Amino acid sequence: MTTTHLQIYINDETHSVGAGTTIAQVRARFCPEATAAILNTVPNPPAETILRNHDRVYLYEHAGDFACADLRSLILARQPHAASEKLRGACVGIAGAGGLGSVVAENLARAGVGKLIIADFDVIEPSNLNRQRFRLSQLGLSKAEALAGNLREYTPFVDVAAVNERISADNCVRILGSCAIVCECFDAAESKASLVTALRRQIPGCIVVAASGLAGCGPARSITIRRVSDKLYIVGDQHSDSADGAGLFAARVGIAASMQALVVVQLILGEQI
Amino acid sequence: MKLTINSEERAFAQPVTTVARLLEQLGVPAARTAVELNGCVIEQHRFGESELQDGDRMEIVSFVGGG
Repeated sequence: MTTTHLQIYINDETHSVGAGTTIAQVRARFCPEATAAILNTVPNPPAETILRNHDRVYLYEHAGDFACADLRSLILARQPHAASEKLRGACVGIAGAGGLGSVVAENLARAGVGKLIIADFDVIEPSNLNRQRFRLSQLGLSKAEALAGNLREYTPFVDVAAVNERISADNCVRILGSCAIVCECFDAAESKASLVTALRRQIPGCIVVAASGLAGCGPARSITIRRVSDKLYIVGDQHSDSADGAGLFAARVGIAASMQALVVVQLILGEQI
Repeated sequence: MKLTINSEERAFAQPVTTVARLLEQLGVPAARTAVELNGCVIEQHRFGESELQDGDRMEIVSFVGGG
């Protein structure tokens, strides 16, 4: 009788095991101290689960002493490996590190985007903290640098560059020219229009994901994605203007920002938007 | 004169000569607006000299504040 062998991945290392091998057997043989298992993005598979060819298993101790090299795979164990590899190869720019940018950046860092370039000239003040993902202890710091610092605590394997400058038509190529995708995350309508125009004209291959219309407490479903062209997407309800006095709330700004980040992930993975 | 604006065909009784005139007619503030004319992005300071022809396709993105 011939024994068929399967090739599986355990904590990213290739191993050969016999057909019919279960999760429990793999755990006992390769990592008996493991208290947690994730199989093909699904946590806690039943012990008797029989492994299939090319299955990807992560085994670890909940309170383990994780080396930085392992952290990327363990942190991204709930995402399909092929998706994480594509995201690792991407460079995304974030123009503005406020209510939109701080959420876009966190979403993309946690997804494992390889390189993020975050540009903002501003410093953190108390009125930012109702929606921008900073802490009291960061008041007065540069937004770009503080955000980069926060991201390094979440996902140290992401290469984050902080640029403490006001992005404009004069410097956008120098600062964001290496990005395949740039998110427009400004606050003022005039700045949004001029940055989007400058990026589209000066970096023609770059896809711009902008936001417009996220003020107030209107319904979440009114926030949509407008595809202007294959190089320009606008997220928002297109009309709720913060200048009208409706205010800005973390929940609604965050929805728009998360939708911007989702469009970026979809573009990188070639998924339908 | 016919123009396709944001995928919608619009008929104008009088010819609209430039991008700037069109935005004015639509009540769209130029300083907050990004324009693509037949797939080409037009810089804001060129709105006044960018002439429109019958049948042109335009995308007009009028931004509002908040972020």
